[in-house]
Amino acid sequence: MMTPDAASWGEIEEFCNIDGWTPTRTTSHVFYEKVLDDRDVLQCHISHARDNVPSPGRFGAVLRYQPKVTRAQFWECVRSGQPVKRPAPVEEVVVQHAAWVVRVLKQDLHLSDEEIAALSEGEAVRRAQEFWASGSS
Amino acid sequence: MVLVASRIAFHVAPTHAVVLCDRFAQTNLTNLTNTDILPLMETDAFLLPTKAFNLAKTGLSDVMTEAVRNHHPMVIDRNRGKEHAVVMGKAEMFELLRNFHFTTQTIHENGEWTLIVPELDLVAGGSSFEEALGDLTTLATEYAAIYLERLDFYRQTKRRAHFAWVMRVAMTEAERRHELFVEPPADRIPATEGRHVLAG
Repeated sequence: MMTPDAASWGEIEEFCNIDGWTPTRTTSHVFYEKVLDDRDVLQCHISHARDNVPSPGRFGAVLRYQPKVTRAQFWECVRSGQPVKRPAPVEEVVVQHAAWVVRVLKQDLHLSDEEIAALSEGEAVRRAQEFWASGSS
Repeated sequence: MVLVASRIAFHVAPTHAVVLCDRFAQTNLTNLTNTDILPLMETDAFLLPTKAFNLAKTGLSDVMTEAVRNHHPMVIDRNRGKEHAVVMGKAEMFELLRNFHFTTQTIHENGEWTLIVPELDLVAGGSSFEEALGDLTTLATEYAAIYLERLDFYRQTKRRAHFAWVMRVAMTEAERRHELFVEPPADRIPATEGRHVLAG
């Protein structure tokens, strides 16, 4: 079965409703929550822009840290209308740079998003630390 | 009378005899019954100075001075050892929380920045790094407020592990809160670099 790389926020909300989540608060996002038998509390934060689709990486991170399901389980839940069976496996998220490194590269070294994306993790850290070591801050 | 009070104080809790002496110096002990005295006495259950609730209540200004200006945390004991609260200055609270460092990670893809905070299971995004950081700060602030409002519930769940990180968010001034998520780890902070240090 084909599993799209990312879902819209509306589809993520649909998943929460099917999977038995409860809306707990509406602020800048809609907070949904689900309490599991093992005392874990899952929480998901839905953007008000229901038609918007997050990037595949962001969607993957949402699944990994919030509903804690795989893409396949997510789409199966939406397709079948049946809640996810837990405990469920999760997928690893491929991250790029630590946020503190990005901040130095952007704010202090004025690198563009494309220049930062081209750096390896180690090179990015080295550039940030070299900047500090130079006393330029 | 002060001499008697001092003896009692040293017997009960030598580490904070001065506080007791100050208090007892104003009290004629011979006119007090055990019931009167016990709530005023201090216990040595902890290494921290401990004040009985009644004593702390009447001397709250002194408790604040000791905690904030003299940097001495203090235990308040109510119902003779059944309930304890700790009073400490904000600076000491930040010291306790210093090692609860957010390991925020990024993904930049399709023109969108994603920020992930594993410690609080938060994921935020935006079309620029700054926008994503703003979204993350808003989410973290809202989550911390909800968490503290429902603390009785969360402390009975696995989310009790979030407490220290939630406190870091809650205790950091709003205008500096975003810095929590772009702080370098302690072993990466240059000695002269002060901008990334948590507001205290």
